[in-house]
Amino acid sequence: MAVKVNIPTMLRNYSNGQPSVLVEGTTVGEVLQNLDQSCAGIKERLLDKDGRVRRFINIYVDSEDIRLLRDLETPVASAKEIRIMPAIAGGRPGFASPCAVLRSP
Amino acid sequence: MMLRITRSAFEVLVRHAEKAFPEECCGCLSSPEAEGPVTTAHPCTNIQNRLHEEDPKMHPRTARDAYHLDERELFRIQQELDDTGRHLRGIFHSHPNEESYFSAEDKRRALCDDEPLWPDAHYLIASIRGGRLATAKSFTWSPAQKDFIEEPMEVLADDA
Ligand SMILES: [Zn+2]
Repeated sequence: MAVKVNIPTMLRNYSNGQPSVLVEGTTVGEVLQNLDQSCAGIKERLLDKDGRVRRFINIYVDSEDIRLLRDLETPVASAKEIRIMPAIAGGRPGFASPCAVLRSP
Repeated sequence: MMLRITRSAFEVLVRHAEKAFPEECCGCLSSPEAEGPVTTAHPCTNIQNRLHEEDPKMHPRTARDAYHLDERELFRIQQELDDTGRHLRGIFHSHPNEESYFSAEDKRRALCDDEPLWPDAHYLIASIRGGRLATAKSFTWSPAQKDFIEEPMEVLADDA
């Protein structure tokens, strides 16, 4: 049973430029484990050492975030596609957290 | 790497950044070709204020000091680009009353275990002073230097 995993353009260095790859698996977790066969090195970018999805990585089955489903146990048998979307965030320098402000004299 | 962006796309992001002032704005950049010029800027919602209200301990910064691009919007943009064979190429955000450079927090949030979350992305940062564009610079990950470095940026005439 193979499912389509869409690879964003900015991550296609892992997939040799392929926009999507077909990966075997019955759950999201299995698919991510097997994804390394076609996208060498991507697994450790997505999962931490304990095999959990990294905090800044979002994974969608069709249009649902897996954290709102059954996380890595989410079944993929009826899924059309899986998407990997790292979070986008940042902040400017010179920021004093409220705690730091309270501590200063 | 080098960022080439059309004048019209550049103006869309500048307007978004000026409108958001004195808060930070954010958005995505896309192109019809995987390696051609960026022709579209997609203004997105900075949800940093909402995150701060929900959990000020976890998210001490407000939108005045940080940005967090709405993940639902990012998902929809990516889906639409995939469906039409276009490409997400980069990310833009603004620095209100601050230089356009890759800050320590920008770097911290763009990395995971010292590896970039988006290895091939162009990161355009617009400095907005007093509500008007001051400078805009683009940055990209350098695997050799293990850091985000400034890259050349060219704003193209739209009929080019
Ligand atoms: Zn920044």
